[in-house]
Parts: sequence; C-alpha cells; structure tokens
Amino acid sequence: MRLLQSILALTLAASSATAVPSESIKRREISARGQRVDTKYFHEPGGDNELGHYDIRYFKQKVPYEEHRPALQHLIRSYLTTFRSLGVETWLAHGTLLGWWWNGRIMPWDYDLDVQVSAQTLYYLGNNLNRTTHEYNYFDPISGKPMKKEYLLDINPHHSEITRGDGQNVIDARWIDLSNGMFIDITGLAERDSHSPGVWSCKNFHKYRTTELYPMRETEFEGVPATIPYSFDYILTDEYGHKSLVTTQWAGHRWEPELKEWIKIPKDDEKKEEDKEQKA
Amino acid sequence: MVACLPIHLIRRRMVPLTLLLLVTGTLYLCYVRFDQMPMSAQGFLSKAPFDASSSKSETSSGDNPSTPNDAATEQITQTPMSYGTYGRPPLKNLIPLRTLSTDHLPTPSTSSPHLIIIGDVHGQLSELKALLTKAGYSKTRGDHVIFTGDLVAKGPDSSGVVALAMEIGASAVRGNHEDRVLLAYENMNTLHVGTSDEQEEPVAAGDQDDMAEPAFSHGDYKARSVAQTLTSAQRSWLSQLPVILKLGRIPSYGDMVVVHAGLVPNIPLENQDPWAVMNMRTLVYPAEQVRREQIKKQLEEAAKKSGGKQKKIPDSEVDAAMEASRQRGEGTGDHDVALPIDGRDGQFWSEAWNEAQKELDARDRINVVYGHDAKTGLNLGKYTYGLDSSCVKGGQLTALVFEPGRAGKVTHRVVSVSCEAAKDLEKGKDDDSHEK
Repeated sequence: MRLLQSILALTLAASSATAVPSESIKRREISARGQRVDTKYFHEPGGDNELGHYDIRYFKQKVPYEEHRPALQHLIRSYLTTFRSLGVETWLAHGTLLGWWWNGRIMPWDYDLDVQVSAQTLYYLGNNLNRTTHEYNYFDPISGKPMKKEYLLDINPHHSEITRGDGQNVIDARWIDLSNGMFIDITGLAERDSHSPGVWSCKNFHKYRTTELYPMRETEFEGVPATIPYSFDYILTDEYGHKSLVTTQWAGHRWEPELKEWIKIPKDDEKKEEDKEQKA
Repeated sequence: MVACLPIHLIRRRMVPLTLLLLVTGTLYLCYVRFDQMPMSAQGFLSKAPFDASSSKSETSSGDNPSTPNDAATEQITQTPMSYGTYGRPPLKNLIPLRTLSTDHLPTPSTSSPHLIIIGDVHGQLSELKALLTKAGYSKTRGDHVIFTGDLVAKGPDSSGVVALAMEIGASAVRGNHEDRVLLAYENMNTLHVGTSDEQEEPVAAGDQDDMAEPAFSHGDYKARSVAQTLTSAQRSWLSQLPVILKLGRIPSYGDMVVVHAGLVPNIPLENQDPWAVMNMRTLVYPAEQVRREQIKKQLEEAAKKSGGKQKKIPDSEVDAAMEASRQRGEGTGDHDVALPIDGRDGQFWSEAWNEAQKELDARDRINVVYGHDAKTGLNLGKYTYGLDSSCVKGGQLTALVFEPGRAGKVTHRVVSVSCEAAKDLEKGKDDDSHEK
C-alpha cells in the first residue's frame, strides 16, 4: 500500500512539474556550443523555498522568523510611501492583496510581497529611476529611536520583452532592502495579446480585464496609504478560488475574528492536528 | 461463513451472495484507498494556496460532527470557514452605512408622507419625471424619494437625474455605477508620472466594446465622461451616498434597508463587504464546493482503481454522490458560510435572504429593497424587493410606494412607467459583470 501511495504521489508530482514549464524548456536559449546561456537577471541564493526570497547580491543570512514580518513591513511601507511621493502608480496584487482583504496586513506566513505597475510605468521607471537608492526613515517600534534604511529600485533589463520568453525573467523589477537582500516583486502589466485588447496580463499569465483593474481604489496597507484594483473581490476569487476568502486556517495559522489577526497555532495544537490527520 | 452453509443453500443463494461479496469488497477497497491517500498527493492536485484538501482539517464547533463508524464521513475533511469577520482598512471616500432620518418614514396616519423607492434610473430623466407623477409624489405632503443606486451612466442625462434628485431632497445608495464614476473622476485627477492619461481620447464611435479600447484608457473613459458631465456639487452629492441605507422600522413591515445589489444573510450590516453590496447577484457556498471536489476526487480514484487509468466522472454521477452524502446526513453545515459573487453561478442572494429571514424571530427580520439585477427584472419576495426593471434597455422604471392604506395600516404598491431604450447601448455589456 505504501509503495502504491508513493508511486501515485511521485506520478502526480512529476506530471505537475513537467506540465508547467514545457514551453520554457523548449524556448530556453541554447548557445553555439550547445550549453545553456544564463538569461535570468535576478538571482536568489536558492536551495529552499525560503531562500528564494532574497536577492543574492545583497543576501547575508536568513532573517529569523521573528524579524521576518517587521522586515517585510518596512519593505512594503518604504515602497508604497516612496512610490506615492514620486507620483508613480502601483497597486497591491496576489497574496499581498489577499492580506489586505483580511486585515490590511501582510499574512504572517508570506515570504514575499507582490505589487504591480502598468507596463508604461515600468518603462518610465527603467528610463528614469533604474538603480536608484531610496532612504526610508521610521521610528523603531520598541525603542522609539529614529531609524534609517536604504532600498534599491532595480529594473530587469528584459522588462520590455512582451512574452514570458524562457520563463527566467517573469519579475520585471525589484525593490530591494540593501541591508539583507529581501525584496518586493514588481510586475508590469500590459495588454500583451493583440487579439484580446482590454485584457491585461503580466508575464506569468495572470490575466485581468481593464475594467477589473481600473479605476483603482485608495485604502491603506500596513498603516500606509495604498492602492488596490477596482474589482478586488473578483480578482482574488479568480486567482485563489472562493475558499480563499472564507477559509480561516492556513499554513499553521488561524484567523482570530476578535483580534482580526492570523495567529500562529501553538506547536502542541499543531501536533494534535497532525496526529488527527495521520489517524484519518 | 459461506463454508459453513449446506451446499444446497449455497446454490440457491449463490447469486445474491456473490453480489453482496462484490459490493462489500468494492466498498472496502474504496474505503482503504481514499482513507490512505497521502495528503501530499492531494496537495499536488491543485496549486491554489487555499486548497482545502491540503489544508488541515478541523471540525469547528457547530458543524456536524463526523461519526466514527461511518467510513464515508471520515474521508470528508472539514475546512474551518467564516465570512464577514475581516478587519480590513476602509476604502477612501466611501461611506459604508447610514441611517435615514425617521421623519421620512410613513405611518398609518392618513396625513403621513409617502415613501417612494425607485429602481435604477441610469440617466433616463423623462421616465423619472413621469414615474414621480404617476406615483403621486407630493412635495407638500413631505413625501420622500429613495433611489436604489445607478442613477447615472448608460442613459442620456445623468446630470439631469442627479439634479432632480438633489432638488427634491432625495436619498440614495451608492450603486456600482456611482462607484465607478466617482473613482474614475478621482483617478483622473491624480497625476501619475509616466502615464499618458492626459491625452486620452475615446475610440471612434461604433467601436465601443470595452474589450477594444485604446491601450491607455484604463477602460474607464465612459465613466470619466459621465463624471465630466456632472457638476462638482453633483459629484459631491453622489460621493456622500452610503453603500447601505438603513430606513428603520416601517409599521406592519418591520426593519427595512436599501442597497444597490444585495446583502449576505446572517451577516451584520456593519460587516458586509461594500464591493459585494454594490455588485452581488448570487451566493456560492465554498464548503459545498470543497465537498464536491473531494467527492469527485474520490470517484475518480475509484474509477482509476477499477479501470486502471484516469477516467472523467460525469457531473451527474458527482451530483448523485453529493445527494447520497446528503442522505447520510453530511454537509448540513455547508450553507453556513456564503460568499457573494457578481455572476449568476450561485444561489440568488434574495432567495437565500428570504429563507434566512424565516429562521429568525419576527422582530429580527430585515426587508431589503434593491436594484442592480435588470436581467431578472422586477422581483418581489417576502422580504426582498428587486426594483431594476431594465428601464435603460427599454423596459420599465419601477417605484415601490409605502403609504397609509385602509384599516389604519401602512401598505405598499408598485408603480411602473415604460421606458425608451437609451441609444448607443453596448449590447449585453456591463463593466461590472462577470456573467457567463
């Protein structure tokens, strides 16, 4: 029985792994000598899922769990306030938008942040603000001391390529914390397919109708002004399913309706849950 | 057991016994199969972060507890769910809820002012004037008019309709079209670097499909042009409209609320999602969807086991298995958590609303007057009054009038006028619709 199960699991894993990047393998650039050319612009230390969320050039060591959320909060606050003061239009997307839906905060199990800009804005950023560093000042929540952090806006030189290409450059730009290499993915949205104008997509095949994105709404995220797409409910259920807006337990965290917070399930409870699962 | 029976009995009972063995055998195999299917493998089936089949199961209090002896119930994992408990930051310049002044409510007294609630006008000014006359609107009596939203857009004279509403001191709720028009205007006046908003031009007439707009129009040139026909006083009047308007108690009806699209039953007004209140048509039940997915997966596995390879399970078979699951008493809590959607794939929210009110004490029941659903048209339920009768497409403009009737009671009547369809309407197109 065990054997059967493992075979089933492996088959499923293999099929889901091969299904997605088939196109990218086909189109990966091959050099004259038949060796693969590295066409990827942004690099991560890799190794595991968590390390995939640091930019290798500025990576020193993993940020521990307790410091993780504050580091992400500084990232998004600095990004949103800087872009606002520069007059650059940007909005929350994917898991970050879902975090807004629940309580206007980063979900504690999220390792990355997702924001989007229009392709036009990305073009402007590439021409005017690429490789610029931005200072962000804040008060340390515990000591109350004024603090300073530096961030780099880095635009992928491949950003104007319309297609997903070899799948190596789906993220168009990054907002990087220079102190630890943590970053925000900035994706450009454009009307890519001339057969369906009015449909916007990013290079990762997420599709949006113009009228779902615009006109944008103003709100707050992690305590600073933020912009979200017009049909936020529809965009979220389209991407994550209806469950995503009602499921109150995820990734070892439980939604506490009184606190309006996702709380980490204590280890004991979690173990009980796992035991239950194994018995079932 | 079989071996102990005398030969002649076995012969006589061979057929039913074989059948019994086959059935129990299959059932047992199915049970073993699903029960031991690794969670990791289930996880691979879907990459959605909220895939319930890979999330941990938890039976929350109030949900039906699984019976340990019933193998089938054990296999259905229950995902803890709730709706309306979020604590998200407010949307800027949007008023979620307001209560109407009690002066405007009708009483059984013969001199009582009438309360006139009017469906989606969409800029059809002459029809609105005709309807007010036909409904017997009297300013001197102190009659009060409430609009269910979508006063503007699509039709010929949005500005004229808002002007008239302001002139008669009417109330209204924010419809999806007010929402879009107001946001489009705000967006227009927010300058962003690197965009070409300023040079935006509508496309040539006859090419006004919203999927075929110029690249940088943001798809809201229609909303922007409506916004530009309004005066700043009119825009600011519209921006003050709440998403939900509480009317209070109307004698012999009870509590009454006006919204544009709908409400989710059993969720306090304060916790309703404004986007949903302005856009919903139906409700879906995620727990039921999860159960269905799981049952389908089980059937597929069973088919795979007996047939050797992946087989597509027809919907009718899944329906039957769902029904069997219900017969076993499972899924009684499936409808406890509803999620509103703007499409028509779920249960009409008004139907669910009426069912839910019956379960409540008479004092806690809430009547809802709404618009938005032109396709369904005039739709009067026990506790719901759907007033959008598609005026802008040449249907009717409808008013619901609450007034003192005979026998010292407040009664209601429905008044309609015929409409001339607005020109240049995009056939079947609505910016805020995800209907299939």
